[in-house]
Amino acid sequence: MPHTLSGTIGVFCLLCVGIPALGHHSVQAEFDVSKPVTVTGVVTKLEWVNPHSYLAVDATDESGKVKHWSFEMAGPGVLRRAGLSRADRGGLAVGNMVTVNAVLAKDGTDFGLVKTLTLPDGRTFTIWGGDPNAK
Amino acid sequence: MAAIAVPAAPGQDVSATINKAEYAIGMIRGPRRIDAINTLEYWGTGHIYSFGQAYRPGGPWPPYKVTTRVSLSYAVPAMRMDFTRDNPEGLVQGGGLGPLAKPERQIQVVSGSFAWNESTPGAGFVPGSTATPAAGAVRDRLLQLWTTPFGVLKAAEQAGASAKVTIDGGATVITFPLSGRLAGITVKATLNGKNQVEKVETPADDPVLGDIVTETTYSDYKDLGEIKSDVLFPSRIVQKQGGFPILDLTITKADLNNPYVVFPVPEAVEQAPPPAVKVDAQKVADGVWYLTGGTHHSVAVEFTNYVVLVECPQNEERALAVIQAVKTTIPRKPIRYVVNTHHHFDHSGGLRACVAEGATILTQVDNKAYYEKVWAQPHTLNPDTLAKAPRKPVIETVADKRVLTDGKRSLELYHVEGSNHATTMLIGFLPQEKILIEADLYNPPPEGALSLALVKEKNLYENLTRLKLDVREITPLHGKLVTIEDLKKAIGDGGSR
Amino acid sequence: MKSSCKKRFGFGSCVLIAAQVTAVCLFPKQVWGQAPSPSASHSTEAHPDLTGVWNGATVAGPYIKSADPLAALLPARDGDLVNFERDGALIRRSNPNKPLYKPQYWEKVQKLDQNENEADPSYGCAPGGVPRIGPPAKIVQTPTELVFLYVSPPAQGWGDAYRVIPTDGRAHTPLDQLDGTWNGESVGHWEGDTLVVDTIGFNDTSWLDIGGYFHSENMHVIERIRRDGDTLTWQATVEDPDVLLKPWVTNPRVQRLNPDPKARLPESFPCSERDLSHLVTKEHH
Repeated sequence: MPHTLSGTIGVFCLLCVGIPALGHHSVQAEFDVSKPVTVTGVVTKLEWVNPHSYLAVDATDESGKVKHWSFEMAGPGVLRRAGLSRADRGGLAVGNMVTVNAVLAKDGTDFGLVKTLTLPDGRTFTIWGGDPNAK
Repeated sequence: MAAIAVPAAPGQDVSATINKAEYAIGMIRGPRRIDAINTLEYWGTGHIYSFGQAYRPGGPWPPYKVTTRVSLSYAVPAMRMDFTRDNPEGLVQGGGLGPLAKPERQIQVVSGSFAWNESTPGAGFVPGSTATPAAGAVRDRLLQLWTTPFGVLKAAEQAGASAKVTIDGGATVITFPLSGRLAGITVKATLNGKNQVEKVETPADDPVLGDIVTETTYSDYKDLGEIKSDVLFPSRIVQKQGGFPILDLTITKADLNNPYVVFPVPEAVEQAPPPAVKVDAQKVADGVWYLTGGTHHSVAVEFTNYVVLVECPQNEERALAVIQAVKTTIPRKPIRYVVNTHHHFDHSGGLRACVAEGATILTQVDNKAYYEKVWAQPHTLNPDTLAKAPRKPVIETVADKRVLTDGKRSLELYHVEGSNHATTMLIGFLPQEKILIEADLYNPPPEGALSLALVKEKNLYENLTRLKLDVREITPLHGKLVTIEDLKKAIGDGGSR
Repeated sequence: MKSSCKKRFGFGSCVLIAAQVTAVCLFPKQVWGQAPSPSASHSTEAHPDLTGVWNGATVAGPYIKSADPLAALLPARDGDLVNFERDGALIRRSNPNKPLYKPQYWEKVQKLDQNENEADPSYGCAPGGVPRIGPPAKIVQTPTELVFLYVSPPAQGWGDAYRVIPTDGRAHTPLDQLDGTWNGESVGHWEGDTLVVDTIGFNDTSWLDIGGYFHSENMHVIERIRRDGDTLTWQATVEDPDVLLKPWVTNPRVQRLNPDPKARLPESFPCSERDLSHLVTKEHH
């Protein structure tokens, strides 16, 4: 029975304010928060690494052409706790059909930062809380 | 970040007003709404004007080109102003050491309760560099820091209940007193329609003009950082003092993201004794004394029944020390005349003290009306002797030539023609001793510097030739004793720059 | 998985980090003047026993459920990401405790700071080094040595690390016989109830902290660690006369003992830097 699970898994706060010694590039140095994109496709690769996890998705458009998208997500510790990591426990697996809501990379590549991820069973995870005061 | 419209309602809450102004330029950050600005740096180009050095009495201060880099920290508090002056377009008319033979760099620092000048940033900690104490400048430099847009809002917050808000011609004005080392100064900050600090006014005291206002105007706020921080800084800064511009800067870039800037105080500066005025009296001829010991010298000439003092410079403190040195060196003879070489404030700043002493001021004719006007202005911020016990100044004038003589000795005063430095310049000549007394026209190195293409020095020599003065020695009012041969050598080697 | 809070100066934000981190917001305590609160069970051979898992948590569960999750999880002015990143950067950078470099290095520090994304070794997943790595997450103390175990926070990486601090009274290897490493060579001794860890033999690649704070191979770090009941306070002094005008003392960091006596350390995830090629500006936080 599909159900939506909305949990905000804010990751970026972790990286900066709390821990003085570690730094991180800014999201804005890489992604354009005003350029959303929605991609539905098949997961081809999953990588649970630091500082970001990666999701590769192949999306087929109406004409049958396949586009290879790459998405950056929160770090694996974050996602694990949200229930995303273990395929046998309802997490993600290669071959799953997912819908990704992301913001586009500024350098024009088929690369984005995930905002929400909808799994085959209908659960939606908000990886990063959007901005209610969107510009 | 949207600006917040301020309703023009009288009696509005002071801290809310200050907070809105802080918010408007990006100071208030984070969900806890804290003031996040500590350090910043900015670079600018434009003009810097030499205060008190007008070409004509009452005229505007002369401009020089300037490039500047300012680094500051509100937490310390500290500021480093690293600026380089160069000649403006066309020949400099007025003082300020122009025309400069080469660009002049100055690095002025204040940190906590110390002020000093550096030959290179961080001097005192870099081998081969020098840090020169400048204890007298602490207050002025701290004031510069606290009149920056962020500084003035932080200081207004500090003032707590002493800060007031009024609406003045539709604009919001915050008035508050400063404290600590700057106690006694009231600041007036005016906000523009976007609640950004548009103008800051502070009072200052000048030995010539008395109570004056320093007015700084900030306009065209932007995030000027290469790395955006959403902190806004004015792209244009204009400062006026004594009614004329002293600074006009266009900010070319800024680092508003709390950059790494530090202001360690060198040990020599920490341990420097407080500056004391001293006067050294050196006899250069019978009855002629060269009074040095500071940056601005004087010459005392002894007549049968009185003394003529050439130059009563800078401020009351220097003037009183010079007067005292004359009394010690030439006892029982009153200072009847004080000769004022020209109107530039560093040379005329002590005249009020000399007026209070009862001397007659001898100055070029074009100065009389100016002095009578400005010396009538109030001195409430820092009352000097004349303000506390007013008397009418006695001013006699020199048009082209005046000779002071008592039959035994003469002092000739001549107006210098064609000088780019000042229209009211006088030189003194002792014909028996063959000594020339001059200010600013020839400042012998190494303490002084020659002007570009020797403009001032050549003009001096032309005047000496025109007047047929048989000069042997020179007592420059900046620098050291030299001879006419030194002057000839200086201009003889070419002006080939 | 810990955070420290610079609330004292008002420059940090006390952030309650939810969902992925069981963290606690800690207030730095000025403990150096306080008398210790010893108990027999905490002592080994007349020295305090620092053994323990020092990543104490007070928040259970992966999420903070809140009517406004953004308020808790993305503590930004107006809930805006742009504000969050820029505010966070500015606030952290306003900390007045900076190492005092010699003037000839001021420009270098500024350049490294501005180009952090490329220049910071930890962005490239290199080890944090000492003192940047801060206090350990777990300490195992024996009569002759202490083992310090570190974990990375779950979303950033310098990976698992450990250090062994001998307290058997041995002297340092002469500096010129040491290869410069990220963590250096440490020896420890007790001064009263404070463990003093003395370390030399560093490379010059690590940074003291974010902000372009480089150092030389001649750096000498003295860490002081002290236990007061359930809290552990750590502070480091960095001496590097080659590049600093005077020693730099870090802000103290206070860790709390994990209340679960069976607590295990989580494994740090491997770190792989993939963003550099996509970065378009120099913004960082």
